[in-house]
Amino acid sequence: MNWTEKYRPKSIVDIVGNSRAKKLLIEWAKKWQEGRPEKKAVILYGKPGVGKTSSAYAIAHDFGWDVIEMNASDERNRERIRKIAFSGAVNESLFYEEHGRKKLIIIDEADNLYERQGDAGGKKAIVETIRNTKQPIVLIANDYYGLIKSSPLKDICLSIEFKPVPSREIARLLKKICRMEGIEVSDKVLIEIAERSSGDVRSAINDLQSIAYRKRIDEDVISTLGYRDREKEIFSGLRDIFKADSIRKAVSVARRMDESPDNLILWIDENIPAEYEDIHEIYLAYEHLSRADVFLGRVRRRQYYGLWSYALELMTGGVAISKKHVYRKFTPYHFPSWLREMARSKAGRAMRLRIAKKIGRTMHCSTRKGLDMFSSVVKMLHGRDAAKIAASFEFEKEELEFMLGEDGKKVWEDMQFILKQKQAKLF
Amino acid sequence: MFQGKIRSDFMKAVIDATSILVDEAKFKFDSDGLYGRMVDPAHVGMIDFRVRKEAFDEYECEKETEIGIDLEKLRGILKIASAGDIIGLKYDKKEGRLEVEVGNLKRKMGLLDTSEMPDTKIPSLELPAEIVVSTAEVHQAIRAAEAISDHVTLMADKESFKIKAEGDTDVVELILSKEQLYSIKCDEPVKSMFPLDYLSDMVKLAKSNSEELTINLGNDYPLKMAFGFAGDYIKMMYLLAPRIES
Repeated sequence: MNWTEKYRPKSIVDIVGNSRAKKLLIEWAKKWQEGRPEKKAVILYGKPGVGKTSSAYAIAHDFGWDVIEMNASDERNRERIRKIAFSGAVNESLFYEEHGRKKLIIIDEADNLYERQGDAGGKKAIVETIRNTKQPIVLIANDYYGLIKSSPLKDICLSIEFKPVPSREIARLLKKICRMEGIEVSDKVLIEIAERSSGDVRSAINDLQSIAYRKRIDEDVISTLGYRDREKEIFSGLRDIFKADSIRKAVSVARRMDESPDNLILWIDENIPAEYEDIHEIYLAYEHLSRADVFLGRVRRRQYYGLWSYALELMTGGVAISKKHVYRKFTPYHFPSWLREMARSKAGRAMRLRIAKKIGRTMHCSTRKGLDMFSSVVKMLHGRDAAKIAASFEFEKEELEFMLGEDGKKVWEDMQFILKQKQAKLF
Repeated sequence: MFQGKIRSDFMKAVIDATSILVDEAKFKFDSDGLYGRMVDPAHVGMIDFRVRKEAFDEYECEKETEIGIDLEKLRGILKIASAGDIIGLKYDKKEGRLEVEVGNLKRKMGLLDTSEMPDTKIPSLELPAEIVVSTAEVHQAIRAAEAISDHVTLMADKESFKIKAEGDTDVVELILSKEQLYSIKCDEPVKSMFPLDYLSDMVKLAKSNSEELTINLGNDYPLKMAFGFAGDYIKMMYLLAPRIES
């Protein structure tokens, strides 16, 4: 399960940071509890992941209100807003046994409505809803000025800004999560994650979860987080590809993404089994993926990029239609383990190349051939004349340790002895 | 898995009744028949329907199954059949699709994931008044009311049932006395106001399926509306939250 959901604060007191904003929000909600405030709606604005949506849900929870939500996955044109938000705003809730008589109408990403060809009907419908509402309304936006421009929203709503959350508060929250998940981690790592998020609690928690696949987080794992910004785009693109119900939709998502097919295929490869549950669907999806890979291979060999489009259609459209129905679940997508392992083994591979170069030099062949001989050399170094052989290749201590582990040290010492003898002979 | 045969107009009535409130629905099949319960996204209206297996020409269901349906899509498929045609419905978990058989034609329909469609609880409501009334009368009044307002007031006392709408200058009023009703049970006068957009769709649907409509009312309180057809083997119930006055 996704930790941002699992640890989504229930009550407003559990939300980190933004104490001033929270206070204003509570005051507004109290006014609703007593009657109808002058400003019937609030705009919560600020950067992503600072607690706007969580605060809206938490306030409904704290005051025992029912929640009507319109989020970005709904198509929010004039008609839908009238049908859901407006209806919700002027009528009572059916569930007021459990929830008292109030319901909170939450319009998430209100700065991002469905506006085709400059059709501002959605925003007008929101204004109309706020003017007529008998229930509390929360608008949530990243882009405050985009939301209020050329509209009376600023005058009829109470605006509350949410600021980035200080990293020490985020680090404290991360520590709490680790404790509850039973994960061993140093404060240094947590502070690093918190600082990297620049006040975005959600991304910090996502980062933490993405590296906490084991019960212990080592400090070097943090380097794999460098991909943060791109990752966000890839995650949402992946979701759209997996949830697409036609080839056309999936392909158009991929074309919008600024990601090369070589990279995209790794992401899809990693996440097919996370998204699909039916074994036959998984089989079909990988079938399409492998065909896509054949095309990628041809692109590389022939340097003919015209074939990319075939690869792209197979890996996105083909994978998308491998399912029988769209999975509505939330899938936590993973960073490709192949890339992660490559990043992790980077130092090791560099070392191998260095050794191969030395083998090549001594054996009068290319580095590539040297790489082929790598294992034979390791085998020889296990033999009786290890030190002599090591001396002829002029291996360094760390190279020997890389090839032989603990034994490397001993071979190196023997080799030093041989070299000294040689030197002694020379003089 | 389940399979059954049913008159296409029965199935169409169920789809129409449900799509008043939602675009996507969770249908459940068990050994007694087909049933569903959905609430609209604004939490203002709810439908609860049950199609007993007796309403089917053939019915077979081994164990409880639920499927997610895109209502507009299924409605499109049902359009292939003419009224009175018997259609076949078949669902196999392995296949993962709903197969609709119209004559010799087989149409397989992809389904929606139901894991994010929550089960809806019926709120416990105390509704002191119960009126059984002619659907056609109510339908006429609602249609007239729609022309002048977007909400309507339903009232009842010991002797009568009243529907009243007021526009800026115009008034629509329907008063039915005890003798003009099938029955009325109401000790204290009750009165609630409702949004016409919901109510009109619900009543229209009731009218095309049943002559009798049972309405339960309270004071500034939700309304319950129930009717049955197909020899009462198909039963539908709507709940509607009141409009907030002032």
